[in-house]
Amino acid sequence: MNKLIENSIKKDMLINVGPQHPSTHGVLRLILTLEGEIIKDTKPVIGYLHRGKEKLAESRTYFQYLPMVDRVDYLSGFFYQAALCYAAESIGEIKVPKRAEYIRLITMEFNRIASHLLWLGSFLLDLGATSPLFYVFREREKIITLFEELTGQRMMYNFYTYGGVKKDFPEGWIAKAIDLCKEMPKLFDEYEAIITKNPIVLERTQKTGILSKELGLNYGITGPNIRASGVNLDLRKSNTYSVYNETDFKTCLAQSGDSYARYIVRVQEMRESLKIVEQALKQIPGGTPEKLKVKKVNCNCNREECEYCGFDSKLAEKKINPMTFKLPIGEATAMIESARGIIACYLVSDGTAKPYRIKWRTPSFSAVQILPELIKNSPYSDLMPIFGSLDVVLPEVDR
Amino acid sequence: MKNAVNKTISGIIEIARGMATIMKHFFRPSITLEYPEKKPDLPPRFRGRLALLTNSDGTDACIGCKSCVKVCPCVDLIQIETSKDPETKKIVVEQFTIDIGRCIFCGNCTEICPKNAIVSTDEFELADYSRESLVFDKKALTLDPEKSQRLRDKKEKEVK
Repeated sequence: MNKLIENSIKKDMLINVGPQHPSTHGVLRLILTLEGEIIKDTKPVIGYLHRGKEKLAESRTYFQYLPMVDRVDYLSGFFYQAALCYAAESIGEIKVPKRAEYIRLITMEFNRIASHLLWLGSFLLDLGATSPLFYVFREREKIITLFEELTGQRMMYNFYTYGGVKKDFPEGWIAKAIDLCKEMPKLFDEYEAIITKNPIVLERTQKTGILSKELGLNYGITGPNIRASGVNLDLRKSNTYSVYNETDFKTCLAQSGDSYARYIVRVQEMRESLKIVEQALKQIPGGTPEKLKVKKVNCNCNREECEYCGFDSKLAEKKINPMTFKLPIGEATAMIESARGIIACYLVSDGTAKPYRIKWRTPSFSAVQILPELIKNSPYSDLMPIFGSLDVVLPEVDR
Repeated sequence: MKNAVNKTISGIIEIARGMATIMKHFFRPSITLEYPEKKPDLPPRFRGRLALLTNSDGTDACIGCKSCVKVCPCVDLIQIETSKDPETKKIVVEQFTIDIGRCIFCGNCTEICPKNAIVSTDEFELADYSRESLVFDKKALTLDPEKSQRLRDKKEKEVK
């Protein structure tokens, strides 16, 4: 009898996880080969959310395609619009005013915090803790409400345009954002009190899913995941795009590369993002929109470099007519550091109103591919904590 | 042995610290909004269901230029039929249909409209039992002059 049980345990077992599994963060299907409780082999099956975002671009004009880009990653829509706008701007040589760049920076960094907050909640939900999910949603709601006042919608913003942004801050927005920046660090302290040294969290995340430097670089892992392995790769520092060079922040690094290190890096990153937002809100050219309006009326200097009526205080270089907007023949790649890693947008223009080809490089795609390496020879119970710590958003994988 | 004891003690302390932080929430005001009874305050820029405005004398504000059709990301979402009045040589909008079930609420059409005839309202509870009932024709989309004026005022206020 004992031998029979032993034999049946030793036999490999195939288990199918997903695509409708609640902790796969969307629709990911995993085919696991188990030996007892140990995972021997994993095959991720992706493509359940494929919507053909790249092909859709070829039949739509640049302005028709712009709102669709938000849907590539619904948790951080600003980043994708920014990548597309930077690519188009470098082909068309469209200059972006500094005020618009600052508005982009503030919204992108707030978006990074909102995305990391949701990751934190869902990661702990994977570990079995439910209350942090409600706390992070409370804070995320404040950021999302700010976005709703600014753009008109909570997740699909459609706010950037080629050459700038569509609208200025509404009245009182900057004061609200400054208040939020002041109260946020206290709430992060609260999360850390609950999570960072909790023995259950430590036990389940430390020394599991270790991602070594070489493995991460070979698979093209970017963002907080690779920074948790000690690779100093942050496009905001190394390949400055927006006005990140005018703000002071540091890249958050951890050395061990396990799930816990990825948690530490993301929490630190949220604090750094708050610092960037605080600085940007102070430095924004023209100041608050109310002040800017008054100064603009009184200022008749007509100089390009004027602080209140010059180029840098505008929202866009000139108003572009969406129906006649065309880019010259050319190709460009724009890379930005999103909440999950490096987004690259490769855009080819053939001189017509529609893009010839758009290619997206998404960070989550690489993160899914590395999962089999990370969970090899670990028990089944470690699957979801490790997968959750990678911060994969499935629509971004399939796009 | 000593290590295990230390680990246990620090574990108990950390869990107690976490629980104390969670306990604080008992004494904080509630943050939930009891949704169907209480409605959220929507900002003036909110993009809800699309609607057509009328002028103060009851005529359509839409001039039938079809700009919104050209910038809409969803193919054939907005369908406009126009005809020319033989006497006045003016374009008359006969049909104006929007399939709200397929609308992605991007706001491109409201931005391009030269007469601000198509606007986003505050309406966001659009669930229905059939897809056909989500296709809004001109009669269902058009607002009366009073409501149109109210929406126009709100929009002007926001621009200021």
